[in-house]
Amino acid sequence: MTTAILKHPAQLGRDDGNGGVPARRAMIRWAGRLFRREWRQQLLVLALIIAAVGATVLGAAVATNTPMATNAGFGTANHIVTIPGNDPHLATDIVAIKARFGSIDVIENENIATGTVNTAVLRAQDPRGRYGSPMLSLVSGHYPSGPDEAALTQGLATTFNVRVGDTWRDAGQVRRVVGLVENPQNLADEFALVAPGQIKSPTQVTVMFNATASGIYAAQSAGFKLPSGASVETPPPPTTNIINPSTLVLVLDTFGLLLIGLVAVAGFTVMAQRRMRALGMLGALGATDRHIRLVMIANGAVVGVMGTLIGAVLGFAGWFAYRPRLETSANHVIAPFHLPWWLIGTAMVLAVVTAILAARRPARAMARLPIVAALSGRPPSPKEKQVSAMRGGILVAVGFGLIAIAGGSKASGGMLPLLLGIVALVIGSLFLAPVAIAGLADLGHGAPIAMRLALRDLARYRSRSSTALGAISVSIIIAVITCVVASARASDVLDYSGPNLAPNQLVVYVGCGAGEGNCPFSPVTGAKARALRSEVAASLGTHEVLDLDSAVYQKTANIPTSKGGNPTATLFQMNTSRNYSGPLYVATPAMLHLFGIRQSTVASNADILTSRVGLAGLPNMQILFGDAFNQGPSPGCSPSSCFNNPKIETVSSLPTGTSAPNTVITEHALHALGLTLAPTGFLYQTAKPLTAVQINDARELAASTGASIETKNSEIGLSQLTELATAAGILLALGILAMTVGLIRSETASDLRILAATGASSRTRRALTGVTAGALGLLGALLGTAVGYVACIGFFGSKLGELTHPPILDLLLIIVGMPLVAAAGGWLFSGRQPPAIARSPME
Amino acid sequence: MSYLELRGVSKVYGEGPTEVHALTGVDLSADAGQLVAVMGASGSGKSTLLTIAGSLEEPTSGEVLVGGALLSKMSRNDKARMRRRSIGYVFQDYNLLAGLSAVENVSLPLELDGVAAKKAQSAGMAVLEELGLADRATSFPDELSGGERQRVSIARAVVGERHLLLADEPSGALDSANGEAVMRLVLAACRRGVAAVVVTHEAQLASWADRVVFLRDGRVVDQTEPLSGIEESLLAHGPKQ
Amino acid sequence: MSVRHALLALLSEGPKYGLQLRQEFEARTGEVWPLNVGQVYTTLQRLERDGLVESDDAAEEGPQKGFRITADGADELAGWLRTPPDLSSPPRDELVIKVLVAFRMPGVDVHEVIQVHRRYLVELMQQWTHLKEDEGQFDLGFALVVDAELFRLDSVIRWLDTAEGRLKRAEVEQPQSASFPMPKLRRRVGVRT
Repeated sequence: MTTAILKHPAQLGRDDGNGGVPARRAMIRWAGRLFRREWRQQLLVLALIIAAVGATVLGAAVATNTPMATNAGFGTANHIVTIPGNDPHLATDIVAIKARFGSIDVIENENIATGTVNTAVLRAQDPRGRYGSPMLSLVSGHYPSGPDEAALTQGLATTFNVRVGDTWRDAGQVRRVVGLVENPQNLADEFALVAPGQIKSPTQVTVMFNATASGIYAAQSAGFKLPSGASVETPPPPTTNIINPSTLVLVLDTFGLLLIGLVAVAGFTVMAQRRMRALGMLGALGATDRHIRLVMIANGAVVGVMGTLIGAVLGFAGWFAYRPRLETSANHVIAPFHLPWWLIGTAMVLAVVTAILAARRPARAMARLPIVAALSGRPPSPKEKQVSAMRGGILVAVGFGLIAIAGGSKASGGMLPLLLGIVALVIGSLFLAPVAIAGLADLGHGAPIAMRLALRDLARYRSRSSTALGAISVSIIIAVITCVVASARASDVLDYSGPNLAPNQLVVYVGCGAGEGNCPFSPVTGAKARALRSEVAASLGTHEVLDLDSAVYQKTANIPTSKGGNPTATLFQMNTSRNYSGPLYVATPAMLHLFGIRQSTVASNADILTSRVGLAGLPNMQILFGDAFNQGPSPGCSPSSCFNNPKIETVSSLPTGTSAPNTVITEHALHALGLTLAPTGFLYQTAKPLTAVQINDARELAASTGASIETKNSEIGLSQLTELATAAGILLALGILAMTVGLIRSETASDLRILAATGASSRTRRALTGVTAGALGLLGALLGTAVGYVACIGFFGSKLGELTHPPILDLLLIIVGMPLVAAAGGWLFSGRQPPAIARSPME
Repeated sequence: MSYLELRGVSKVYGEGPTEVHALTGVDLSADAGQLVAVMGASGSGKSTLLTIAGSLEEPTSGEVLVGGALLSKMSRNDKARMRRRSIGYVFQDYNLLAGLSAVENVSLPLELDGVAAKKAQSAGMAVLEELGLADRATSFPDELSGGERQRVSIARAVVGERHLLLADEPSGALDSANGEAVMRLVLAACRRGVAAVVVTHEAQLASWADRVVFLRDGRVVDQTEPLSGIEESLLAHGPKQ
Repeated sequence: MSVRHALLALLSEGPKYGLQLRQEFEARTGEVWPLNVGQVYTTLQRLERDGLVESDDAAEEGPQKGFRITADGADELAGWLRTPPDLSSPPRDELVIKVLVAFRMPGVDVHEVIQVHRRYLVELMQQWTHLKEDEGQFDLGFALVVDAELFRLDSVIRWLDTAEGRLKRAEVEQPQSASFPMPKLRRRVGVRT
């Protein structure tokens, strides 16, 4: 064996006592091998990092590309002057501007009717114009050149159902469609392009030119005047606000990574404990503390780098797939590589750093562990319970305070204390976790052996189970906060948000309903409205049509909306000065009939019927009508425009969509207050959800008369949000359980072996894992819900009453369902004899 | 000259009523080239003795000298360096690192000490060859049999310029043939000048030692006389008929 | 083991001379079992008398006289190989008696007595093990003999370990245990019929 004796004097003298590069390389190699062997146990952490990085890349790309460029509408010019089309000296005014500021670019617009709420214009613009050319691009065909040629935007072409080569009729003028165009800076800009000079009576004329501030000043002092009604605009300066979409994405990313970091700490702690004996052996072999830390940190780095790279690739793939759709929804052309690279880079670095930091904590704990304790697999003695409880309590209190501050401030400035408060709560709950775990073992006294053993093991190996518990409670905290906030919002009967209509409902508006500040069209009335009503019904193939009528105060009915009069009756809460946010239609007998409400079941003196639970109980309610708004919100309630404490009755049969008649004013009130009906629209209900074709037909019919339609929008309802949050929280909690319970149990594989040898059946084994998973899940759910409620109480403070409608179903799912699923999962998946029983696990 | 020397070493675990005296005033020395066995029943403190001798644990009182250096005067890093340079451990349950092949396990102490991977592995390979394990060099620990694993861990304990070999029940769960093979390897290391301490409760393993120290309740109670004129004395008696 | 059966075993390989028998006997038992010529011849004469071996009548008495095994001899040998040695009754073991006496004698530390014997036994084992160290010149038969000796001594040490543990427990549990009477071993031994 003498050949094996190696002389290595070269290294002896000058290394730093840590073996230098070769030692580090050996440690990193081992960490890499361990990751390759045990990546499955770290899958959750990996998946979360992938998700975070992917979402950040995609979110950053979307956030920076969604807002329009600040110079949208300016082309390359830095000034525009908009002159109304009715300027009697239009031509000379334009010439004057040209004379003063040099070369100009003129765009003439004429409003045209489309039949939708969206406006469109007929536009005369030179595609090769000096400043305006970036606002125009050809999609297909060619630009119009003659008097009878036009190029339409895709949206407008669809609205009018014309293609390139077709003829297009507008206000009696017939033009041939020669091409499709778009405004790359604003894809929502719907227009029909005609050759310059083809517009006889423009609604407005935009003159674009370049000028310096001093040039403008000089012109003003020289007595240069713009035509009356015209205004000069300059592009807004690029935003310097620190709260821009990119920073928001970064803040969210950081916050998300913080939570992931906590989950990762749990995962890495369990991994560290699993490798405890191997790390002890490493120490016995002469590895220094730094070497041991390096193994763990290298593992964290591998997870971080892998997750980040995969996440970035997925994020970019998602971005490239999503970009075309974003162009249509953001209404401007987006370059594929116009990305906030600094943000993406920062997020990627943050993800790796998160993983490394998460690995550092258990790494340090491991390095500090006495080698003999590590070798024998003795878990490190947990921190003093009282200390942990005290720290946890203080942090929860601090978090509560911060959240209360955030809840107290109305402005968005409350964001920072809110985030900090949640972080404090989350970390506080991590400190509380060991305390909760410690209490577990006491519960097991007198329970069957499997349960007793499972609970005792959880308490014994507290450091690994409490990190898992902490991570579970964190995911539950977030879910509970979301649920409670959403349900509080949902129970805010005055400001309810959610889907507007059911998928089988459609409203045609012929007049302006309540709450619509700017009515884009003049009301359709009389025979025209009646014809439209039946035409739409026929095209939808339904007989279920309901007239939606607003209640209008007769004496102010003739005051135009634009003059500030609001003839439509509304609901108002005086002490909070809050308006009820939806339309208030009249409960006609036809309406009651349609929704199956019998007149006799409603109190004859009820003023308001509503499907919104809680509205009836609100104090200080008023019905405002007439010109109440002109008087301003006065403390008094003038009988000519206000009615105190209307009788509100809850009728569950009314629909719940925000645009559907969910809260209605009765005919009783109508008569008592001297209000009359004002036709607002028609509600159609079909047997099946409406198809796109049906919706389009209805829209075209409405457009032909100047009315507009509304159908179900894609907004997420609060109930959906609650469901999503609950599902996400439960899934994350289960994921953490899946990652940690297997490891916690594999630690005690020798116990299992002994149990099996003493004749315990697979039932015992299943029960052990099931109880471990269920107990951890239940404890996490309880702790998370408690801390989540602390956060909500802090946030809502005096508005605590809004929490009186807790999301019971979701809480039940979290507190009962999740632990049950965890226990069942543990029971099911531990049936197979783990290989650890067959042979002792190699460390 | 003794390479390892323990002087009045005591070790107390716990405090107050749960206090356990694992070792009380133990003196022990192992010379270079000498194989010392520490024999004692379970709970006699022999494993603690070994971990203290190997700088893995600090004695409550008393002094440990390794190669003439006082352990109590060394920093954690110094001790780690000494472990990877001078001390080899063999544990009952093999303690190879999963994820590293046999040869990587063997060369690990050298790599930790800053020897380049290639050089360290060729040294590790040489030791494995000597132990007849060259063909298993690239196998991972979970692909090796118990005897092979223990031989690999002995290879790891003797690679490089080790001066002290510490073995805790090295034959562990091995059968007597494998146990004998393990002891032969330990003895071979001693014959090359390594001081070795083997703790065991088995007389058959202890009988390989040049000197057997008896430990009872944390105290050294007895030790054997050095060997002299063996064969004659045995053969002179003959078996009883 | 009897010399009688050992000689029969050697002869079962083929006819041998008396001197040759002695040499082979010693070689096979690893030379730990010396045998004088006289012992060989007395035994051979008895075997011949019992009809278990035959000698060459032609040859004279002396080292050159050849012997071979008879059919009866072969039967005897086969039967002997399979007959278990008498292990059923405890041998009158001096060590056991010494320990039994020691723990009942006032003023004597039985652990110290046990340790004296243990050390002696370990030293003996060390000597036997030392013989194994040099594997090169290690005869198989000799190895078997050495192993047998080691295991025998080992079993005695184990008994001492066990006895010490038992005594220690007894001291903890009932300090007055020294007064219990000498066990009557015979009474407890089960008998197969």
